Amino acid sequence: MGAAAGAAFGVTLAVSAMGGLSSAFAQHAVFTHLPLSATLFGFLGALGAVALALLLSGGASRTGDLILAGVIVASVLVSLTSYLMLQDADRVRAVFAYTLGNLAFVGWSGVGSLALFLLFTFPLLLLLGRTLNALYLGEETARSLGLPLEKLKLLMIGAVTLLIAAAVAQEGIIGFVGLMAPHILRRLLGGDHHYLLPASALGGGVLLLLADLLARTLVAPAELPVGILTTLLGGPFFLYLLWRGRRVA
Amino acid sequence: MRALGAERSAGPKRQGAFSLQADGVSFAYRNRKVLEGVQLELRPGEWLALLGPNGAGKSTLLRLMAGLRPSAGAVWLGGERLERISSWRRGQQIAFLSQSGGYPEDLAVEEVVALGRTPHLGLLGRAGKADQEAVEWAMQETRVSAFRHRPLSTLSGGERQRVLLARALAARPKFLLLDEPTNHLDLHHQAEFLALIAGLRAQGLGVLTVLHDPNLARLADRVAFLAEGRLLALGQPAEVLTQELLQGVYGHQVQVRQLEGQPVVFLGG
Repeated sequence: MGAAAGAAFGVTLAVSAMGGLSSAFAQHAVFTHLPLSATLFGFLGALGAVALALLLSGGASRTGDLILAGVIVASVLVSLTSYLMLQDADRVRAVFAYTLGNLAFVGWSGVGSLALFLLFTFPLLLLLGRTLNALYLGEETARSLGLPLEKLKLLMIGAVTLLIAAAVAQEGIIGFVGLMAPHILRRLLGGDHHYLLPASALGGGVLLLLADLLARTLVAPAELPVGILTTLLGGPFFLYLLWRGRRVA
Repeated sequence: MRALGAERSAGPKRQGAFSLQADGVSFAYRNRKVLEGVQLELRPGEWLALLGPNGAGKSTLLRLMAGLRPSAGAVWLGGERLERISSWRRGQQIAFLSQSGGYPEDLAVEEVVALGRTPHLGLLGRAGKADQEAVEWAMQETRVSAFRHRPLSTLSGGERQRVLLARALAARPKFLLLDEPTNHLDLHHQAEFLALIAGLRAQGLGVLTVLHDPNLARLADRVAFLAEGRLLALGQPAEVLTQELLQGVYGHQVQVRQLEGQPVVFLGG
């Protein structure tokens, strides 16, 4: 819903603006890690993008509208990010690698801040496991069971946006991991969110680790941005799911 | 046969018995009126069938009485307006089964049925002994206990519909609202499902079913006939399901014969 694009925009803006402001900063054509202010901007960018999407779609009651608004916000932000990069091509070269998804920038402090976010949001999601299962029954039935759907959606969007913002601010846009892991695990474990949520968290981590290993070894000594690799692998995977779904239907 | 018009009142029409009442209920999508001044009472322990042609507003009326949409006019649950009570308490008293709900294919039967306890548990509550008992009871009533551990995706259409009914019953509601529950079932499973519903009346449950087929509706205690958003007739099946009414509404030749005191509807003349 534009969270990732918002984070990328925030980081690009931060690096671009600060590069102009401080010459010392500008000397770092390639960073070993992202400066803290940049991750902060990325975080705020992600939150801002989701807030904007929610505003445009008039809240979370119509899921389709919200997704559409998210797509629109994301594409505008991607354009703006590209524009910033064109303006500032030299300094923002590293940021380009970042927007493609790269684990190389994540230091231990980044891991720490990610863990902190996970500590606060993940237990909430786990506690909501049964409620999430009830949503399988369809929105209308869920409402008939008394579930306050609008509030619940906002709560979920809030928790997930915090997690996405924290992750994307550190490592850029690494596509398809968050889509592939739950799909694979749902086939293995079934749909119960009590198991699916923690399994997806672990499975996603394992998947990313494997992808990063490939990214570092395939074209060694050079290194592929891991986001490119996951997208190249994830795209066909989803085409396969789509194709199989059609055959079943 | 009685024609019923819109009446407004400050309270439920019939005091005393705890019933679910639509009181002068109207509803419109943008400019298109779907329901106008409908007056309908679902009593405890009765099976009321809601009949009418496509687009008559049957499903909409069912949703309004389930409290899923706001309407003009009032819906009363006992002596309280439905929109004033909390959604959790509403869910404890009124169970709703949609004809096009999602199917949690991966969940086991028992887990699906247990989701019906949601109104009693809230967002974060944990299921206790009473919840487990209600789930057992619901599974026994619908005879799905035997395959409680199987995922929904492995069941036949008839079994699946019984599981979804068990899910609705697990809340131990006072009223059960079903939208065309026999739609995708063959003759045998239609009969089986309707026999289940008929049995539930003995538990004091008030059941409202939207149905298409007058020959299924005649099994109910009362039939409400809806056409163009208005309640055309309300009464016992034999009173409502007349040749005159059915031909007038459907514009098709129809014969109604009596069979063991029940009206049976034949197409063609």
